[in-house]
Amino acid sequence: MKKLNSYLPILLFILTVAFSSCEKVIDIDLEEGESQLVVDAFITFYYDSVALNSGIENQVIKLRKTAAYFNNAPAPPALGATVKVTDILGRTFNFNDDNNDGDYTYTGPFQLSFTNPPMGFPGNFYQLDIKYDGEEFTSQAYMDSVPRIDSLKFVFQEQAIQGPDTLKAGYTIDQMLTRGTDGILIPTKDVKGEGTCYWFKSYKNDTLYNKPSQINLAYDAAFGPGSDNVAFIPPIVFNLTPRRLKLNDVVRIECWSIGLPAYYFLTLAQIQMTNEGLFATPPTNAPTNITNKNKDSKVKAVGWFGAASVSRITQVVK
Amino acid sequence: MHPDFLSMNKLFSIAFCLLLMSVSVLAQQKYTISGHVKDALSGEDIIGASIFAQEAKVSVAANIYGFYSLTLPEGKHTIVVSNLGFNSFTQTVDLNKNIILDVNMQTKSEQLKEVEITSEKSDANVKDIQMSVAKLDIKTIQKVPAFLGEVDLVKVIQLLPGVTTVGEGASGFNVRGGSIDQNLVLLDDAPVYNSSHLFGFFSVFNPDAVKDVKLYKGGIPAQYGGRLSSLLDVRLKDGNNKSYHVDGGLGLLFSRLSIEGPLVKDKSSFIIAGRRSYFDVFFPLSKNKDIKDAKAYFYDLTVKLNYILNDKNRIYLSGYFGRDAFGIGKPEFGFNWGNSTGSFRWNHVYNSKLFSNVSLIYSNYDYLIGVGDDYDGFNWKSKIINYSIKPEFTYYLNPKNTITFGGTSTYYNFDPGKLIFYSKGEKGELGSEPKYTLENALYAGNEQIINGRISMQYGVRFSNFNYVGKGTAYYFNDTVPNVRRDTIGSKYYSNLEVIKSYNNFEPRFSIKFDITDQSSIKASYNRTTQNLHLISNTAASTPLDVWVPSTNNIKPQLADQVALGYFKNFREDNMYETSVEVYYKEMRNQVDYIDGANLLLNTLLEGELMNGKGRAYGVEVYLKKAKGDFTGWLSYTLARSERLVDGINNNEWYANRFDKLHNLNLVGMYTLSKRVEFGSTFVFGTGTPTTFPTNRIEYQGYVIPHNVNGYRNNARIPAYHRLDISATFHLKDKRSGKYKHNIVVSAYNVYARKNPFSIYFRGNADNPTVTEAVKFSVVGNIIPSIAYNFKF
Repeated sequence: MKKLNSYLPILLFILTVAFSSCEKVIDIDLEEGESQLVVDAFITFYYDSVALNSGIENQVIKLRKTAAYFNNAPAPPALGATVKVTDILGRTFNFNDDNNDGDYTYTGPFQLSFTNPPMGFPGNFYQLDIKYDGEEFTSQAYMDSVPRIDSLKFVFQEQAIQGPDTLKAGYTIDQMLTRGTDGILIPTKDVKGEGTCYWFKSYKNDTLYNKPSQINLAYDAAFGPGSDNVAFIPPIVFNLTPRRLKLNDVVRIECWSIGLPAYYFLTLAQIQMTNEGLFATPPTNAPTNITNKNKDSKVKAVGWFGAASVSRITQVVK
Repeated sequence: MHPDFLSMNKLFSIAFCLLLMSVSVLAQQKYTISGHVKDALSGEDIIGASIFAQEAKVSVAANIYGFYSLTLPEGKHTIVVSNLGFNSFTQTVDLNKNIILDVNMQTKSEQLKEVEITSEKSDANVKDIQMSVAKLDIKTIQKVPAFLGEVDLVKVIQLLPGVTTVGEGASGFNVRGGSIDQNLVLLDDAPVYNSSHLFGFFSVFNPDAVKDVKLYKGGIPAQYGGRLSSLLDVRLKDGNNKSYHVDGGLGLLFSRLSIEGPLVKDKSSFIIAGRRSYFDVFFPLSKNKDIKDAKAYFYDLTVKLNYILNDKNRIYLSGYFGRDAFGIGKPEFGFNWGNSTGSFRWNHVYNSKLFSNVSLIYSNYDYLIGVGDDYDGFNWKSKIINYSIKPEFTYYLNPKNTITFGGTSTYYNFDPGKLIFYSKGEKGELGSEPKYTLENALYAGNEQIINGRISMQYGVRFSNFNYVGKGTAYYFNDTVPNVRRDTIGSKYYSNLEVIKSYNNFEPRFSIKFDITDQSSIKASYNRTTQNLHLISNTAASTPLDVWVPSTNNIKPQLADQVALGYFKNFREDNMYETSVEVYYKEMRNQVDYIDGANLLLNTLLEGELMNGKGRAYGVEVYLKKAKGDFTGWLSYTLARSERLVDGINNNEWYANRFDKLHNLNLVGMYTLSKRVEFGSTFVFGTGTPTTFPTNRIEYQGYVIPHNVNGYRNNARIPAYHRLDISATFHLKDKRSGKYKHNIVVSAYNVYARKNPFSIYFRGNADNPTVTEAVKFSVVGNIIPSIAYNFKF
């Protein structure tokens, strides 16, 4: 429910004007901690609006190292690891770092038969095993279902403000729509079953809205228990369009069904990245689901290994 | 110190012996003189006036209703009643029966140039048994330079030793290392759950209606309970029962108006005082359509009526209603919150020795957030309501013993939050069901003069708290600390069925020893318990924070505090008052939160909570110059406030968010002439603790800050300091009547320091993978203001 706190900056806007509150970027010396292995991965399966895809996209597990907080260079890759994923059907998929850049990739073969489905399918369960630098790490993930999104409905909005930023007049997404069995488009609903969690990603002309504040998460159709299997509530739909759109902009929406543990991880990670102002919470570390197989080892890894089925729709604003 | 160092049995036997001792003094034929002390001009009761019997050399202070009772041997007595700011009243009485003596005191003449910054007798700080207490009268509060020129009681309290704040924009105040919900704030006996307007920039108390303010930081008498750290007792004016008066002011941010006067002369009076902000008045001038239609205001209304039925009975009715409201955008995003309180009190004098007051109390705090309509939108409401009955008795046994006893019963209704949302016409509900509790307390205490040098105050409070139905109680598993606990079951309870009870004894003890006529040593111990918890893990408390009761999962908070103080006044007329106090406070069952806790609208909130220990200790130094053209005070506090919670900070003690090692406040007021006065304050405080990252995690293109050691509050933001000044010009009153008016010119943050509220870390707006540290200041500049006040 912290999402509602994001409305508070609107009120702070008034304070800003009244009391000249200010933010200033400052130089500060930080201690640097020991570097750790970072696991950055989602096993995915995409449903496209045009056709039921595929399962033929490469799966990537990125292994990186943590760096000093102010080190703005790309994260150093963790090289020379052995990475494999096994699934509920007992299959093993080996991930190789062919380009030596820390992106461990599964490039096929891709199966498509009913008895031997693709690696990514809802209901599948994955175990990740990594051998790196003399340590063995492991993690598990479950792939949940995702509602299909068949169409987007746009609406024209007058100029408005949401906090300090003026929103120019333009189009926003008014609704996500799903075609029912009778062929009629109805508002997209959360998948039945409590605790299905989503990460909505919005792209304009192939560019992701990539600010931490734009990470748009949902727990069922809202932010917590009690909103199962209904249409996504307004704040989630509003947040699909962080900026107003123009005619002929190409919009892509991805709905990642990420599972409850990843939802908590991303919620906390987002808080850490946007923890500003009067209503900041005590900074804390985002959790991780990567564990060292040797419980006595002092070497820890961070990051998250997840699995997501993804609905993807691309539509031109008209 | 271990809290159980005094066993209950021992405590009771001590109390019993003391009581016996006091009763055994009854031998000689004695009579009682009692009555009310009032201001002759306005008819207001005078709180704390001293009634002194010269020959017998005994004295007593008038209670908060101006009532006193003094039992003396048969014979002639000279009674001297005194109170600062009034001419003393002397009368000789021949005591051969119980008599009633009501005293009307005359205000000292206007020619008296010196300003006195206390309404008490001038050596009260040394002579009163109470320590760790600050008493402020409204005249003092009005002289301190104020933010935007608006006199504010809570802001002045923050200048006292032992009282701190996290910074501008933070609601409430912290007393001796306690969190803001550990202060019991009473407005004419009704609890106020959120004492702030506009995110803490102003408090809800209208200075025009306030008579008296007392803050107890320790040594809290047994009749008060329910919070751990302090009691802020705000008493409203009764209203002038002789003639009509109007007070008002025009400021930059808001205006005030109050009217008081008799309903029935000398018998009944009223006061009604209101304030409203008007910065929204300028919104329609904006070219921006949204600002044009925006709402942003707050208001409050304070009313009080009283009626003297006869010599023995008097009733009071007080109420407060206030609200902050904001609305902006389309569809409109609206947000409003407010308190309303009401108290009905009946004073009854059974006989010249037994005084009683029975209060019926109502208090409500609620907020509402909403956007959109019932096709697409949501509405979120939360509230806390309580209904109390509180009978209190004071028995003036003899001049050496004043016994207090009584109780309270309170029924609470908590609505921690319900979200009703509409999604394309489909309605849904989120959030937790209401919770109900019943709290009872019984107390007894005695203030006893042992001899000319030693006096004591002791008592015990028994508190009984019941979490009751109707509702569902949840049971959770035990898990690793700092991990969300899962439910292992739930049970439905019907109306008023007890789910969980807690009983606690709270011993209270204070002692004073006079070293000389102008110096004393005081010591106190008190235990306090708290069964209401404000759920908030943000840096500054927000109006969205919810109150929850102790439940089967949330245990009552307990605190034990010991304090020792030395008090000394200088010069014959007690011109300088000084004190040094040390305290140590241990707190148990402090509510804390798992990382990433979901605190709002969560049915299973209790699974997100942890409990820990707290400790706070410090030294407070206070120096006050109470008289002369130049008055003011210096307060310095050296303090620590820490917490220990399993699963946080590697299970080591860490500094609380409001921990500040050094706190220095300087307040000066100078009367240049009858027409011109100056005021100035300087504030210095150590920066508050925060957590800095050591590393960055790159994940899905985002950069997440990470502290590899897992420490909390491993760094501090820079120190806070600020200077404010003000000048008051009393204008000539051409009407040569009662009309008085003045102009107050003031400047807040004179040297425009950008005091940090926090330092946080974020990705750059253009490229989120480039990280930066940001200093956030709530007030970033000098804030000048001008206000006009009038009175007739």
